[in-house]
Amino acid sequence: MAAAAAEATTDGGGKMIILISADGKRFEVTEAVASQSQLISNMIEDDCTENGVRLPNVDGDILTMVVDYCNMHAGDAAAAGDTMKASSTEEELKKFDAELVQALENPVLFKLILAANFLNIKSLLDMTCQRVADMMSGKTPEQMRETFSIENDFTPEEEAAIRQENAWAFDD
Amino acid sequence: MGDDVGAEILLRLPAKAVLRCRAVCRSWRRITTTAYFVAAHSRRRPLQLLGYTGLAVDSSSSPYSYVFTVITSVIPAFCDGDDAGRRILLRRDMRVSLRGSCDGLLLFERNTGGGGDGGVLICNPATRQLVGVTVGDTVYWGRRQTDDRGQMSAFDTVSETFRRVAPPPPVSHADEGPMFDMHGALAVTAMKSTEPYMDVWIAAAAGGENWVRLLRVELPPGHYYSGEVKPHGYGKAVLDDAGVLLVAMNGCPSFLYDTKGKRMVTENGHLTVACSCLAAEGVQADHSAVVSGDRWRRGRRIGASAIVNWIEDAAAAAEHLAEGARIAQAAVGQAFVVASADPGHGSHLLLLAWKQQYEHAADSNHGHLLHLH
Repeated sequence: MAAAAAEATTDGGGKMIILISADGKRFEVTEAVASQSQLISNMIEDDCTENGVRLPNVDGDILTMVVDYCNMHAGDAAAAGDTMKASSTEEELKKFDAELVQALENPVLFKLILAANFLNIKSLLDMTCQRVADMMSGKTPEQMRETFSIENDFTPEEEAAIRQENAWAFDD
Repeated sequence: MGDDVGAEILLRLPAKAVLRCRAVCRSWRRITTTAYFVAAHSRRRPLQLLGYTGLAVDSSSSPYSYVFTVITSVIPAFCDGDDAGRRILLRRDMRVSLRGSCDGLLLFERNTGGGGDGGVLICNPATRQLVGVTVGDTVYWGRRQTDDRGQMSAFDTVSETFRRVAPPPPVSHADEGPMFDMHGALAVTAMKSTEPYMDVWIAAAAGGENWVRLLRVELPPGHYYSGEVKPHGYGKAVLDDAGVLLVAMNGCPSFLYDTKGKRMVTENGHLTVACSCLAAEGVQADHSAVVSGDRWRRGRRIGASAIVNWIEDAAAAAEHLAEGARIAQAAVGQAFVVASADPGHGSHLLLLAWKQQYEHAADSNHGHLLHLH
């Protein structure tokens, strides 16, 4: 165990882990970075990361974003110890986060949400879901269907009854 | 996208948007009406101060409209004649009085010409739903009992027992102002009739012990403070999630005090003093879910032995109940306590909702919205 750890240790002090996307792209990250994913954190605890972590439902381009995000936010968790190299300032992080989600087209944003959910990265899931929620807020049901390409599978009678339940919510 | 991820997104919407989503497609409707969703949504939404400003000006003819103001801490004058933030939450062909709030729900008593006894209505301000409750002949809203010996009673929702709680040592019963829930701990306001202060005492130990004086709020002389006024536990005090305390005592203008910045935010005489209250602005479909269906109508009947103990323990409090109308104040926690006291046939008390109950309960009633009566 000690020997294996020494082998894969960088001068940053963290053990390195390989993440492998669905399309075979490989990402080398420190344990501190990868541990922001609760899924991977659990795998590290269980010693299951020796041969790389395969993520069969996360594409390479999405995983690139996730790894960028985790690299950027690795300081958050380690800040208490203050041993990590200059963690990003809060302002930089906010700017980074805002730019990350705002640039994304809906289909990519949804893939990122799925990845954040699968990997169980709470802060990323929060941020991406909030982004979608912000887009939905203030929209009528018709506009929501249009935005998210959803088919209306209610009968007209059913929909009218649902609207009647909380008529005030549909006022404007 | 699966239901679980869909729920993650929909959970972050305000209540109104959630209700709209229910009309988008079957899958969203399914997601937003599950017990898990409604409970989780309400837990996410912050509690906000909601001020009750009484009947709308134009409501001399029925249906009556009841206007509420969302009080935001950042707006210093929350009721300065500007209509921003004001809205009509209730429009009913009846006159009601606000009696209390708990966990985002408002309790109204329906007024009938002569006396109160017109029944009790519970309103979810977020969904604007209203449900009637009938519990015996007399229904009371209460959070804590106080008797003339300066004792408080608390009801433990786990063991279902009542017990006495010692009040803050230097505070006499007459000086005791309204109580409130301060981040999960019991807090009591106190105004000594000889000093222009309002003190806030907090029970440092769970269960109402180890009282500590947390704040001393200086009151403008001759305005809030009068040597003649003794609070006797009446009035209301509520703390929102941003740390702003609203205090309203009968006969005095209400005021907002910033407990973090330790300064008076604003004073305001326009709110109907006795009716200022706290309500959640969140979904609260879940709040209504807490009290939906049979569970709500039946409530939860606590054990007979607990009632007997309560009556024996707090005879003075029971007398208050039997007299009518007098409701003392709060225990810590989020219980709606509806008590029915009938001197001839014993008393019973229903706990209609409290947090532990809905967080742990997984039964089928929880996902449904209340139906309007």
